This record gives sequence, structure tokens and C-alpha cells, in this order.
Amino acid sequence: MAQQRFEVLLHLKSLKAISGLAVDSACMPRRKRADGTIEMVAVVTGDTLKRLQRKRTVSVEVLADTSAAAKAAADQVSRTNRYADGSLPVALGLQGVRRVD
Amino acid sequence: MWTSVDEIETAIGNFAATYPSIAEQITLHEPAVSADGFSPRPVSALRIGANAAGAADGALLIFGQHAREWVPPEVALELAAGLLGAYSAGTGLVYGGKSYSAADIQRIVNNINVFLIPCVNPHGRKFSLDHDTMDAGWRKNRNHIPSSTSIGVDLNRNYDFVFDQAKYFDVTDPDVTTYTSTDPAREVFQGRSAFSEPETRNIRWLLDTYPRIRWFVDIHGRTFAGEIYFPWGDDENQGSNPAMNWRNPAFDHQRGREGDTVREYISAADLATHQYLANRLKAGADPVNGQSYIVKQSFGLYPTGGASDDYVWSRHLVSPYLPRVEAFVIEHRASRFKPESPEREDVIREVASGLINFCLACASGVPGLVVELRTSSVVFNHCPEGRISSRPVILQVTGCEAATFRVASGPSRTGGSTRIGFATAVASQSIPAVAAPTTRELFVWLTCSGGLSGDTATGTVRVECPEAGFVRDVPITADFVAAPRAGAVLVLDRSGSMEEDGGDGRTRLQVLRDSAPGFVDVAPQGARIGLVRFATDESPGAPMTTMGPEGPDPGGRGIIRGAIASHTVATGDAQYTSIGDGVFAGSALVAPEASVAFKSLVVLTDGHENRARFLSEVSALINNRVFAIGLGTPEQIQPIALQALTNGTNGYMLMTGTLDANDPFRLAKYYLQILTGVTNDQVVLDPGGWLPFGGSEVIPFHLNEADAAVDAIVLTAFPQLIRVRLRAPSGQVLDQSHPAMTFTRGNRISYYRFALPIPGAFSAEGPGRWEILLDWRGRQPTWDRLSKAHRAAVGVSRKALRYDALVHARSDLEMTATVSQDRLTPGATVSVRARLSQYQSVPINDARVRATVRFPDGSAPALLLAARGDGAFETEFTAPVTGVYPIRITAEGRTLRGFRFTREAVRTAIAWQGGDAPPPTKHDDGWCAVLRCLLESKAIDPELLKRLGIHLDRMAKCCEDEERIARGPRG
Repeated sequence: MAQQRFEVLLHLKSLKAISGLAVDSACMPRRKRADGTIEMVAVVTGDTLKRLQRKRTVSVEVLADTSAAAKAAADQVSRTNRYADGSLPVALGLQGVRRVD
Repeated sequence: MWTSVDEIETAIGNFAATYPSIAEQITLHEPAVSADGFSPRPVSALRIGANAAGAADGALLIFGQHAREWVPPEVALELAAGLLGAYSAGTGLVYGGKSYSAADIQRIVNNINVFLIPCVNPHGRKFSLDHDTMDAGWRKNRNHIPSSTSIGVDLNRNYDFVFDQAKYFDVTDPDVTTYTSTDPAREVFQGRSAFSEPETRNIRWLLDTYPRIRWFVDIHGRTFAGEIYFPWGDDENQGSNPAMNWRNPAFDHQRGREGDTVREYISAADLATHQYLANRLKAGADPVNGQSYIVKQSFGLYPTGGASDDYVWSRHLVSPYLPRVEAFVIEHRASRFKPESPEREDVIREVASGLINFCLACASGVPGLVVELRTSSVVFNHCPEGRISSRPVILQVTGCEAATFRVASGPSRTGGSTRIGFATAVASQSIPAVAAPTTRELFVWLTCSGGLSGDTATGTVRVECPEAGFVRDVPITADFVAAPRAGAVLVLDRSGSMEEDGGDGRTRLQVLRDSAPGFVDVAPQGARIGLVRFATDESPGAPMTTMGPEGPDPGGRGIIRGAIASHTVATGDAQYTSIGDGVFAGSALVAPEASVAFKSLVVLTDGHENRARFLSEVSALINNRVFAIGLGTPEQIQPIALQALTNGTNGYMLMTGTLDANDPFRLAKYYLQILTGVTNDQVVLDPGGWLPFGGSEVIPFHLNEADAAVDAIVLTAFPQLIRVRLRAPSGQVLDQSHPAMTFTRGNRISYYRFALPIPGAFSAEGPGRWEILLDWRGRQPTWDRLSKAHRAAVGVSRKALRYDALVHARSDLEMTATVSQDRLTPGATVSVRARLSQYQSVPINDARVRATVRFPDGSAPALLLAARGDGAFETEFTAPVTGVYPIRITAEGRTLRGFRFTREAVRTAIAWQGGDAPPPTKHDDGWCAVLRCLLESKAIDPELLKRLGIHLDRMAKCCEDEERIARGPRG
């Protein structure tokens, strides 16, 4: 299994600061602040985290450990096939809807 | 619960089995493969739609490309369960603050096919569900990477669009290299080559297999607020330089930089279409939980290559054989990739709602979805000299949404005569949204003018429907021909009844002599006019004669005037009325006129037909336009056949009724109005009044940009005593000394003739408010002086002089007026219809059209004609009693350029007891004529026959009855 990874909130002036680093930030929250700096959520390895923390141009905040949340989510994964009997998912949008003729 | 990949696949099958008429499971071309030792896993799509897959346009929605984004596949199942369940149950759907009616759901399922791929990346999802130890877990698929120990490709970097980073992008810019990678170890590894992965090949296969897919949404998560993207993702959009695009190597190695001059081309129309649909997504998602999704170009997220939306949208640009597919990405908002309840359900609801709203827009006919240009080229063929011709460019739009069709640039001339100019008459037309999908047509109008006979030109115009993403260059061709000439024959009654009182103190003959010359005076130069007479038989009057310059013109107008002045009444047995003979002779006279484009007969009669030829005999032979004037009442004339004849030729019939001393120019005005019909001119204004002795009158009228030439006419008994001037829009007063105007004074008529614009003191005088100024010339007249000088004059009171002012225009703003009746007896329903158009065919719907009907009892209500569309206006009324019903139809409104205009027309309706009788016909097969000949020649002895029991006098009576002679001693 790959080494431990951390979900971090980065605050940086330019993406040059993370150029060449294995920073996974795709499809994750990212915004450009009014002062032109960038705030982004990313996933990094422990090695990369240390390198980021050494950079003056990058502010790194390790988000609260998401492993517990991931564990909780995993516990919510269906481990049986609920539809094997031919039944169907129930639409949220149909709840409380009355037939209109 | 989070749904497993097995459950997803099973649910797809169950949906198809439960709703076989509206759901179909489609196994995609390739199974997904795994480096984890699992068997290849088939990937399914679910098609939802009441139509067959190829019978309706489709929306492709893909979910779960990125494994760790657990919400999107749940949205897919919600969408399937919602659409199928609601459609089958006849219900709507409710998502928080957003609801959809049952009709909305029916519209989606009945109108389009919704293709769902609930889990594009099943092995990746399974791995993420089973092994993720953090929220931002496994992103890629689980495929083996050749020549690498790493596993997985970021599927949303694996599509064939600017795949080669080093070639397309400025790789020195970290903003580019951050979000896609050639390093298999990275989460954004793009793969060894475009479409290296079966999962992305499946998307391509589905698009290729179902070419009616027209929309695409790739569902992802997560962002702070929720974001919706449209192309492009490689660089900022620009709409001005089509050559600056990803296929142009001149811009290689420069893409991806924010704020520089290198950008990616998308037309304004395509951009508008994408923005429209992206906002439909937002409008569906926002109200569910009070969120506010952000709509922006995908480059606004970050620059990247190989993304699904860019690839899908680029396909039609790479190959003209592939359909346009508008493409989008939605990144749902959430605090995590794997949000807990109730956030999870909230997000599912808002994304599902956004997608339903998106599908509803598609199903309602997204602008641009079904548009078809109906005018592949604009052909101005045979445009007449001196006129402005117009032609439309027509776009057919099918759907519910609002749409605009407009001229984007041009029209411009690309070749041919420089005299010819193209312009725009109506540059834009919009239609509102409607409740049900409808096919509608949108018009823009072009004009062509300035050419001389033989000139040709070519040109082009660019039209667009921005909501539809539709832009086309339409070629234009034009050619010009000589202006058409009008020809007319005056067909005049000389039957005995013309000597009777016309009602205003003059005989009908005198009224005719006073009135008909105005027709000749005002006829345009070059017109051909002839004259025939009829009573019992036809007789020649004057040959077809070319009208020369306005004024005396003895060799032209003078000949016809002379023929009218010498018009007399027939005597003896020649006094009967054979209108058919007159029409037949008139038709024969005008028939050889090869140079005449419009041939007309103008028939005047004061009696009913009582001698062959009858109109019913000759009507089939007449192929000219026939105008008729009935000088008298319906009972006197019984114009059944005349009415029918004029109706069948595009002409019309006017009845004077009993003439009135207060309206002495009624017949003259009828002649002048008919002249406009003969020459295809328009009546701008037709008022009458009294000019007080010593006083003055101002008669305003409005000219517009479509009016090319104008006649301002004043009818009075003493034109030599009246000063007629014109005040132009600038206030300048113009009189007969103006070099650009022709002023003509004739018997009872004076008029100005001029073309627009005319030179003024300070500027050219053209469209705007004009005035006819009337006052007295020289010494002030009195009743005593006038009555002494002209004892028989009509139209003079003790205090004032009667005048009628008419303004005619040769114009490209036309009103056609028709009056029709369901019968000619009292109680008839009279229908009045007018149609307004500019430049021959551009309908004018924004106008006020009235019909003032003068009933026999003296009342004169004004009826408002209701707009019926396409420039048509209609009303109707009942003619309750016997009599003539003069109908003055007036229209006023604004031209295409906003100038005020007026148009007028007078028509008459008639009703009388006996109006339902059949028209007179000849039934005797000639034996009555033989009998008459025998009697008149004394070839047989009446007394001898009488002794044999044969009464010739009674036989003659039978003949008279047959020919309707008994109704009057003469015509």
C-alpha cells in the first residue's frame, strides 16, 4: 500500500511554489482570493508535506484527519446487493409527491 | 448507504426490466479491466425515453469517472428512479425548493432519450469503496499501466483533446503542469495515449453509436460552492479569431497561460448556447437547498487537456460528419467527497434536480437544437427599376424556448454593378418561449435597390440564432428589369339612362365627363390608355395611347380627354346596355399591348345588363384586372355579374349610390383611386372638406422611407382660384416653382408630382410630416361672383368651396384592401380585410386599421379591424337594408424604420332585394334575334301567322322576358 497521504489546505502566491511536487489538487476545492493568492485543498504524501512546510511562499494547514470520516463512510457502503431481488432504488424526488391525473 | 458497483449494475437491469417501454440497458462496448486481479467488469448505460434510440435527440450523462467521488453514481440512480417512477405514475418530482410537474417529466421522457452511465469507472469505484482510508481517496481507474508499476489513469485526462501537453501547452507554466501529468504515479496521470483506457473508449463508442446524442454532462465532485463548466478547458475563450484554435500549430506551446493573447476560439453563438444550458443546470440545482452554483468556462477551474467536455464538444469541429454535442461538467458542492447524511442526500437532490432541469431544457427544444435554414440563398430576381425589393431569410426553429434570429453582419455586395445596394429591412426577430414544442419560422428581411435594367450583383449576409449556436453565411444574387408599365382601357356606358339625373343636379353623363378626365390627367407618363364605349353594342372611343408629359399633352392625354369630352348617349334601339360588349371590346383593345405589364379595364355603367353580350358570356375570356364603377344604386344597376367579374380579376367594384351635391367629386375620387390600383400605387390620404372664402386649410399627411414618388392632388370646381402649396417636414414651403416638382392644373384638378427625396433649402426633404396648404389666389371670391361665373358649378356653397385632397404614393409600403359579401341581399355579412406589408412582403402587424362604414340610414360607425397575423386585419358587419355601404378603410402605424404612415382605401358593399337573382344570361340560342330580324324586316306577314294561331307579338314578349328587357325600356 502506498505511504500515508494527507489532505491539506494550501495557501500560496503562485503555483510555481508547488511546481514539480506531487500535489493532487484536481477536482478539489480551489479559489483565487482577492489579493491574487490561491487557496486550494490538496492531497500530498508525507514527504511532499514536509517539503511544502519548508517553503516560505506556501502556507500549509493539515486538515483534520479524514481517515475517521473515511472509515465512517466505508461503513456506510452496501456490502450486499440490495437490488438482487429485482427491486429498485427509491427516488428521493418521489417522496411526498402525489399522483397528478 | 453508498451503492456498490454490483448494485449499480443490477439496478440498471432492474430499471430496464421494470419499465421496458421506456428504459433500455445498453452494455457498453468494452468491459473495464483491473490490475487487482478482478475479472473484466461490464459497464452498462441506461437509456430512458419513450422513443427509440435513433428516433429522438439524446442527452448523455456520465457519472463516476473519478473513483473517490462517491456521490455522482448515487445521483444517476436517483435520476433513473425519479424519471422512470414519476413518468409511470403520472407524478412530478420534488427536490427541496424545486419541483417538476408531471407534464415536465412526460416532456423529458417523451421528447428525448436520456443516456445514463451511472458508473463509468466501476473498478475504480469498487477500489475506493473498499480501500479508501481518507476522504480524498483513489481517483483513477484500476488499469495496468504499461511499463510501470503504478496503477490507474485519470480518465478525465485521457480523452483526445490537446492530449500532448508538451506540444499544445506552455509546459513552463506550472498552472498547466499541475493538473495533468505524464507521470503514472500522479493522480492526474493522463495515460500513455489518448483513449488508452476502455472506460474512455466506451464514451467514444456510445457517442459514435448514438449519433443523435446532442448534449453531454460529466458529473463530478467536489467544490466549495458547486460549479458548472462549459468549454474550453485549454485556454481562455475568444470569439474574434476563428483561426486561433487548438488545431493551429502556430499557437502550440503557448496555451494554458492565463491573461495572455493566445486563447481558444468559440463563436459567440456557441458560447451563448453553452451559457444558456449551463444556466439551466444551475437553475435546477440552486433552489433545492438555497445554493448558488457558479457557471464558468472550464479553464476557469484550471487549464488541462484530455478532459471529457472539451473532447465531446470538439468532435464536430474535427469532423463535419459528427453532430454537435454541447458539453458540460458539473462539480457538485460538498464538504467532502463522501459526505455524510443528510448532506449526502442534499447534494444528490440538487445535482439530480439540476440535471432534470437541463434535460427539460433539452426536451423543450434547446435553441439551436432543431434549427433549419429555409433560405439557402437570397435571390432578388427581376427587381423592377426604381423600386426597393425585399426578400426574407427564414430560419425554422422547433422547440419551446425563446429564440432570436438576426443579421450578424452585412448584407454586403461582393460583385456586379456598384449601383445595386443591399440593406437590411428587418434585422432581427425574436419569439418567446411557449408551453409545448412548436415549429416556428423566424424572418429577417433584406432589401435590394438602385439597379438599372440589366444590372446584376452578388452579395452575402451572415445570419445567426445565438441561442441555437447557429451561424451561416447566405449568398445573395440580384438582377434588375425595366419598371413595369401600366395599361388601361376606360369602358364607358353610353346607354340612354346616362341622360338621367345623377342626383346632384348634373346628368350622369355630365358627371362622367367631369370626373373621368382626372384619371387621364394623373396617369403616369408612359402609361397606355384607351377608351371604348358601349350601349346596345360596343363602339370605338380612342386607341391605346401613350401618356406624355403631365399637362395638356395633346398627342397623348389630350386624345383620351377629347374622347371623354365627346362621349354622348346612344339613341333609338342602340340605347340598351350590353356591358359584356364593352368589356369584350376593351379586353380586345388592351390585349395586343406587349409592353404593358399590368392591363386593366375600368368599366363605368349606370344600368343593368339587358342586351347580349352578357358579362356571364365573356367573363371566362377576360384575363385582365377589371375595376368597375356603378353610377347609381344597386336596384338600378343590379350588378350581380359585374361584382362577380371584378372579384375574379383582382379588381373591385365601387358603387356611387345616389350622388350628392355635397360630395361632387365622389366619382372623380373613385376614378383616381382606381388609377392607383391600375398603377399599383398607394393611397396615403383621401380627405375632403370646405375651403371658406378668404380662408385657408392645412391638410397634413405623412410620407415614409418606402415612398418613392408622390402625387398630392386637390379636386375643386375652381382650381384656378385656389393656391396649392406643400410644406415639407423641415417647415420649408414648396410651391409650383420648385424645380424638382411638377405642378399640373387641369379641369377641376390640380396636383403636385415629385419623387423623394427632393432638394430643400437646407437639406433633402423626405420622410416625415408634410402638409397641403390651401388658400385663395388673388382677389377673394364670393358666392355671388362664383355663381355668376359658373352657374352650373357644383361643390360651391354660399360660404365655402368644396375640395377633396388625395395623396397617392408609389410606395413599397402597401395596403391591399378587400371587401367580400356572403350574398347581395339585405342581411348579408360583409367581411373587410386589409393587409399591410413593406418591401413587397414584410408584414406589418403593428398598425391600427379601421373601417368606417356609412350605412344607408346615415350612421357611420368606425370598426376596428382585428390583427390576424402576417400583416392581415379583419372585421365584418351585417348590411341590414337595401343600399350602398361605402367603406373607408384607414390604416396608420409605423414603418420598419419607425416613420409614421397612413394608408386609405374606399370600397363599397351593396345589398338589395333581388341581389340573389342569377346574373343575366342569354338562353335563346339566337332564335329571338332571328325573330326580331323577321319582324323588323317584314319578311313575314304577322296577320297571316295570326290567322294560323301564331301570335308574333306574344312571341316577342317571350323574347323580351328572356333577355330581361321587360325591366326597363332602355339601359
